[in-house]
Amino acid sequence: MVITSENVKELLKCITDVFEENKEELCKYDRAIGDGDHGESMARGGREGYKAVEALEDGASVSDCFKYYSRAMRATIGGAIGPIFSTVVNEIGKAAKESGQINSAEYAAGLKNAAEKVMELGGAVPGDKTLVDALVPAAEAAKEQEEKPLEQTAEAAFNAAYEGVKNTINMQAKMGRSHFLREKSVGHQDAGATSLYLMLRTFAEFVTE
Amino acid sequence: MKAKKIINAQDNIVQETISGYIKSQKHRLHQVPGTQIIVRNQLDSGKVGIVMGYGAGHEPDAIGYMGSNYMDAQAIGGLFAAPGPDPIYEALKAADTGAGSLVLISNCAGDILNANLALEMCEEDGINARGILLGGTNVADPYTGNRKDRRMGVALFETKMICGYAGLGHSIDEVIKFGDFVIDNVRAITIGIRPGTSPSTGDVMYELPDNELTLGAGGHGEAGADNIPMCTSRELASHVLEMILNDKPFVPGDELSFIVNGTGGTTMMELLIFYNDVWNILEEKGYKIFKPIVGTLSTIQESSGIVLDVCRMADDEMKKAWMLPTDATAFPKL
Repeated sequence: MVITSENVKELLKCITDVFEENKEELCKYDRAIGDGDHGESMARGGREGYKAVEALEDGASVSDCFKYYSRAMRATIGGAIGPIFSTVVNEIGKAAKESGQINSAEYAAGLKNAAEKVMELGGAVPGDKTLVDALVPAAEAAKEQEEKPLEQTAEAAFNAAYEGVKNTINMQAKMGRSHFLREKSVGHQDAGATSLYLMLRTFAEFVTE
Repeated sequence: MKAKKIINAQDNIVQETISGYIKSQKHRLHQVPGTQIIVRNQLDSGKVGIVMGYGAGHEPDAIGYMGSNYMDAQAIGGLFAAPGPDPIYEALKAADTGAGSLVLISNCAGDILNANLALEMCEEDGINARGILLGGTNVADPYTGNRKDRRMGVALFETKMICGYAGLGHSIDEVIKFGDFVIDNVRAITIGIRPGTSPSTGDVMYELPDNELTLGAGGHGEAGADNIPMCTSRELASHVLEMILNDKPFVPGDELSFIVNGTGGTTMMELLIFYNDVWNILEEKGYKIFKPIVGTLSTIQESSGIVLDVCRMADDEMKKAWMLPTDATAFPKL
């Protein structure tokens, strides 16, 4: 299944729900090495994002739905994760601007642009124990599979993101609040990377259904 | 331990905190309708406008530092979360009366990112706005020479003196230069005693055994990197002053000021005992003491903790800026 203006709102609803359903788990990861509210922030950001999308007329374009979702997220979440996560959402949507849909090529391009933008914006590189550690491998995996049907591209991306999240456990944080914990930050998985993985997993499940 | 807080709906915490404070200060402050931006009713024409964007939950910091010779406008974000770039941009515009405006940026990823985006927006629109990064003072973090790599303490020497210097009529370039000079003369340490609870999740913010203290505790309820055994006030003061003086070798005879801040759940009794110890130890080491302050000036909810900032009063300009009167409600009378 490809994402079009017909089903984009439904997809964004599923993404919103996944943050709500996992908020306690996300807070738990954040509590270990951060300030413990990441899940609440994502759930709130998603809720406001979906409200903005619901307000758009039926048939609103894929890129507009992603854009307004991301803007509401940025305004609601704040902090560093607000601008960073909303950039990922916006870039995925932007890739659909020309064709009006998200198929494999658009998805791969969106993830690649998102990874580049996020690294430029926040200054993190792979290995810093941030969302980038899930996003960069996901973008690379999607690129490799961009000739395949979207189901396969999306699955490759979320599997790579999952590996990336697991790899953050053994990393010592070099960005964000957790880096001041130095070696104490080792042994915990990064909350922001986990949220990104959840979004990509939801995307894959949605297009496979 | 679960949170036990007198609040209404979760989503309204920040908005209602602002409303309460603005009601109490409406003769001198107002809120821009439909936003979490607050501005002084009467700005001083021709003075550099001082702005801060920050996450809530630290009251009276920073809302209590709005006032004459202090901050002119603020953009308040969520709980412990920086506001987005748009409200910071609006606050920078609101504070500019012709001499430009300066945003004080806490050394947190979110504050830096959003302030920089706001400054880019100002540049695009031809608004004379600049930023100064507060940080680099917390000796719990390794010294690298890069201000970004170290957090700050309570940062009231920095904010009070930067704002005071602007109040004395200096230009935006002079204020930034002076701010850099002040920051270089400050060293701080954050001490966690007992964690607070998060208003968002209701959970305790970090774990700490009853017989330990954590050094380098974070400003939003993060644990510190190093724990030490529970000890007396005098032992603690001696230990952390050693860390500070090893990092910044102030010379005996220097005039030092210091701030003992309680993070919410530390009693005034404890703060005064600790203040007394810091004063005595610095005097014993041959330093002169200049107008130190103590109080619950910046909080992390009901967490128990102490933030100690020490500042060398290197010249008369610093003293003048520190002593300049303000009507900000949170700053103690000197």
